[in-house]
Amino acid sequence: MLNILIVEDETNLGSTLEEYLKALGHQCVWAKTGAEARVFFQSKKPNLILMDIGLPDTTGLVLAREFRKVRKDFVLLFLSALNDPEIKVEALEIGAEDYITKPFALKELILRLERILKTQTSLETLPEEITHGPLKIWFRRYEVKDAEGNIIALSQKECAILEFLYKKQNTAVERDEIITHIWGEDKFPSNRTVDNYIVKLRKWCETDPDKSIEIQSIRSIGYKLIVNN
Amino acid sequence: MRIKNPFDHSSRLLFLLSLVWAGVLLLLGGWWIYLIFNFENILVQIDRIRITKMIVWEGGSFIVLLLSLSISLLILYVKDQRKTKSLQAFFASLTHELKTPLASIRLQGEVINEILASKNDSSLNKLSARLLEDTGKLESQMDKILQLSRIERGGELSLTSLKIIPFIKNLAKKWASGLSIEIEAEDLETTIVADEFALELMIKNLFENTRLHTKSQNVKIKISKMPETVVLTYQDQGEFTGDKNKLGTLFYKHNSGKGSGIGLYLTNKLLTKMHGKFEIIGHKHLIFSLTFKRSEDLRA
Repeated sequence: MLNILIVEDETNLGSTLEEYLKALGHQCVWAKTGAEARVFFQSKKPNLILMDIGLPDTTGLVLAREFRKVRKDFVLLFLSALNDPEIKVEALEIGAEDYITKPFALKELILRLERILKTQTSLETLPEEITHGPLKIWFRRYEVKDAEGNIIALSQKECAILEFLYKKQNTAVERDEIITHIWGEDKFPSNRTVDNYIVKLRKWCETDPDKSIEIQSIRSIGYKLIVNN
Repeated sequence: MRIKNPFDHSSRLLFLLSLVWAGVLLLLGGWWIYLIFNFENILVQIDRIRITKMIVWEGGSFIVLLLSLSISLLILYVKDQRKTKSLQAFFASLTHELKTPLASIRLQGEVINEILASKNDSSLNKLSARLLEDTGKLESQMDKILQLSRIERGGELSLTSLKIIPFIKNLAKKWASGLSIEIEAEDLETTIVADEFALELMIKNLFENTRLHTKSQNVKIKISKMPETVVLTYQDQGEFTGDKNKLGTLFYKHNSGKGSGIGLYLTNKLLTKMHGKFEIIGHKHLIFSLTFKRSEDLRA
C-alpha cells in the first residue's frame, strides 16, 4: 500500500483520483493548493506525490523543490497538461520518477504505481545504510557517499538501477532486463540511455581506489556489479 | 516532395514586397533630387520659379504618398505578425485549458468502464467504450493543435535515443484498433533519435488517415536501417487522386470533409526538428516515408 498525496487544483479530476486510489487500497489525501499540500506533506508524510504543475498559489515545480529539500525518501510523479520539453527536463532534474502528460490513461497511471510499489517494497528489504569500504549507499534517501566523503543525490532511475544491480551482485545483468525492470514494458529507451545512467554510478564507485564496489561491462550483454569489500 | 506552409510563404512575400517597395521609393526620391539640382540651369532659362514650384509640389506629394503607402504596408505586416502570434498563443493556452477537464472526463470514463465491466450490461458497456473512443479522438486533435502552435512559435523537442521497432509495435497495439498492421524490420535493436511524444503523434496520425480515407484496413510498415539513417515507410491501400504537391500543405484536405488538414504538415515539421526527413512517394498509391537520424547504440 502506498501513502499518496495528490496535488491537483481541478476538483473533478482530483476527487476521482482520490476515490479511485483509495478504492485500490492506498492511503490517499488530496490537496487543491500549494498551501494545503505543504500541510499534508508535513502531517501525512507521503511516500508518493502526484503533482500537478499549474496550481492557484504556486507551481508544482516550486513545491516539489521545497519538498525535496525537506525529505528525499518519496517518489515524485508529475501529472500535467504542459508538454514542453524544458518543463519535463526541469521536473526530472528535481528527481521526478516520471512526467505523465494529461490526459493520461488510468491503466498507464496504475502501471506506474504498481512499479513504484514494487520498488518501494524491494527497497524496504535492504538495510537503511549500506557500507562497502569508504562507499556508502542510502537507497531510501536516494543518496550515496563517495570515497572522498561527498554525498551525491541520485535520481529515481539511478537509484533503481543501482538497487537492481546491487541485489543481483556478481551476476551479469542484461540491458534489456534492466530496461524492463526499471522503465517497464511500455517504454523503449535504447541501450545507450542505460549506459548514460551507468556512467554516473561508475563515477561514484570509481572514487574508491580499492574498488570496494565495481560496475563491470559485460560485452554484448550488459553489466555486473561486484562487491569486493 | 516538399511540404509548404502557405502562411509562412505569404508573410515572407509581403515582407519582400515591402523591401522592394521601400527600395523603389528611395531610388525615385533620389532621382527627383538629382533632377532638381542638375537641371537647375535649364530651368532658370525657362520659368525657373514656376517650374521649381511645380517639381517641388508634385515630387513632394508623390514622395509623401509613396512613403505613406510604404509605412501602411509595414504596419500591416507587423500587425499580421502580431495577430498570428497571438492566435497561436491563444490556441496553445486554450488547448491547455481543455486538457485538464478532458483528463477528468477520460479518468471518469475509465472508472465507469471498470465498474460496468462487472455489471455485464452490454449496452452500457458499448456506450462507455464509445465515450472513451471519442475522448481519444478529441485528445488526438488537441495534441495536434497544441504541437502545431508550439512548433510554429519555435518550440523545441526532447530528443532521446529509442528502439524504434518495439516502440512502433506498441503504438500499433495502442492506436491501430481495427487495422491490420504488418511490420517488416531487419534489426530489432535499431535505435533512432526521436521525441517520443512527437513520434507517437505522427504514427497515430497515419493510422487515423488510413481509417478515414481508405477502404482496406491493411497497412504495411517497413523499417530499414541505412548507414546514417533509419527509414520507416508506411503504405496502406488508399488511392489518392488529388494534387500530390498540395498534400501536406497546412489545412489542405483533398476531396474530404474529414480530418483537420494539419497532420502531414505537422509530421514534416516534427521530423525536420528531429533531424529527419518526410517524403511522400508514388502517385496513386502513396507511400509515406519517414527518415530518422540513427542513434548509435554503444555496446560495452
